[in-house]
Amino acid sequence: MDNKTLIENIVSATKQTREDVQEVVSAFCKLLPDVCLEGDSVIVSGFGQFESRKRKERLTVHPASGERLMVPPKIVMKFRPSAVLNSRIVK
Amino acid sequence: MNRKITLSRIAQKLSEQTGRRARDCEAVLRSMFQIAGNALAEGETVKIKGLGSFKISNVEARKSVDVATGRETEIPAHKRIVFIPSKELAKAVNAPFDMFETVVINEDVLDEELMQAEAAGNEILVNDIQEQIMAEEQRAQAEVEEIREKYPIVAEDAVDDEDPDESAADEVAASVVDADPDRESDLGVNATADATALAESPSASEDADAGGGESMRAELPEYEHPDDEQDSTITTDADDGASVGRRGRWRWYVAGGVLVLCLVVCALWWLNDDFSEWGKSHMGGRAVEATVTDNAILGEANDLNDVSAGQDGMMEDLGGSEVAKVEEDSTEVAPTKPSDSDPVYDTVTDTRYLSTIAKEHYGNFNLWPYIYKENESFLGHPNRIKPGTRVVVPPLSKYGVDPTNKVDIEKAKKLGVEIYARYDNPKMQHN
Repeated sequence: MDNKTLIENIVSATKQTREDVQEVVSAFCKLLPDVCLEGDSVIVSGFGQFESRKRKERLTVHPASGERLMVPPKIVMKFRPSAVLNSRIVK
Repeated sequence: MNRKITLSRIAQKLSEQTGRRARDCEAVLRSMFQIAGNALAEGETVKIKGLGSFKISNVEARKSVDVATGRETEIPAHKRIVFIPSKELAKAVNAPFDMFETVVINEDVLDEELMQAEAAGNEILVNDIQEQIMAEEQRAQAEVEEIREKYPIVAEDAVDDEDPDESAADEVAASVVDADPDRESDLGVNATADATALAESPSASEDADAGGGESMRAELPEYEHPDDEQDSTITTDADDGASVGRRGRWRWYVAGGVLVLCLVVCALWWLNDDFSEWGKSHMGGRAVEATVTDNAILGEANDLNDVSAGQDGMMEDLGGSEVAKVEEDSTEVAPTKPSDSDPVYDTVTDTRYLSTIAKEHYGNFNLWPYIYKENESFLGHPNRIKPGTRVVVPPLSKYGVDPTNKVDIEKAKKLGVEIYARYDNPKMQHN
């Protein structure tokens, strides 16, 4: 399901204007990293949890050129599906 | 921190931001995730612009061990949901580490240095993202400002500064260690403070660089070395300093410096004590030598040299000859002849010991214990008689001592040892 279809579905489900829906969605996407950087996680019941994780610096080798690389540390966004959702996909 | 924010809370924030009703925002969000969940249940990939994509991936069956029993089991094939954040989201969430980029490592960089750099990198990563990173950036900037004010000579570019800073810090650190003990309290503390301030500089500039947008590169190996060198000169608590954090590290330097100063003070105090012990000892040859010359018994000085250098056996022999010499040299010193009728007094000073008094009055310094015995009531440790103490010099006949008799001299020495034992046994002496 691509973004457009998704928005359409939300519009028909909530009976709100497309404009509104899109604005809410994009506002949410901007808010999410801010919350996660504070160390909190966003939990959507029945769906899952969005949280941030730290990744350490590491040494790797570029597969093509063979040169050694130092990948810097970073913070990534992680999604943990809820048990409810997991049980749904199994079927 | 580590809180779980519910969708309703998010919706409230969104309504504040967008001005829409919270109820509406929440409805939109809930509907979004519900639809996404439905799609995923169908096996469809869901893509949300600005958020990312959720897709179903198949996981193959794999062999494993049952944790309880320990026997082999198989984890069956199953499906799982994978979330790939969109580029905007990934960038936004990595904001604190945004300035870093992947760096190619040159061939000549040793693995050791890389490991150090990796360790340093791991240290840079903090456990609490928000507080420490943000706060550190602010602090680092403040510190850099401070240090630049303090050391205007230092050039603006922090990276180039490393070596001058470091050598200056080493010099200061060396001066701390070699500081003149008398001036230690002022000089030492200030020097330590300066050293720690300079020590902060590379680490502060490290932080500033982290916040300033330079790539990590070989700077990390470089930064490790200055820290190590400074740690070794100033304090041995290198590991502690690193783990405590940049802010707290300078405190360890100060503590180390203070500890060094205390040790120096203690060492000097003990040494002083030692020398004064020596001086007041009745067996201290050199000191007695000096006082003897002071008292202008010139002829005796040479004898005493021999006496003090020699062993007990020798002293015994020389004692006799010495006494003989005393009587011969009576023109130089007239030993006061003690009589029973009028008590003879003498004063103990910082140059006149009981032994000197004994020498003068009895002709043999080994006979001091009898003077001590006479005045036992108010004398404490024989080596620690307060200068100016007036003592009674008893006639030797009172104790039946004959200064010419070797046996009597031996007895006197034994008595001396006894007197010392009284004081030296219960107390712990550093001798």
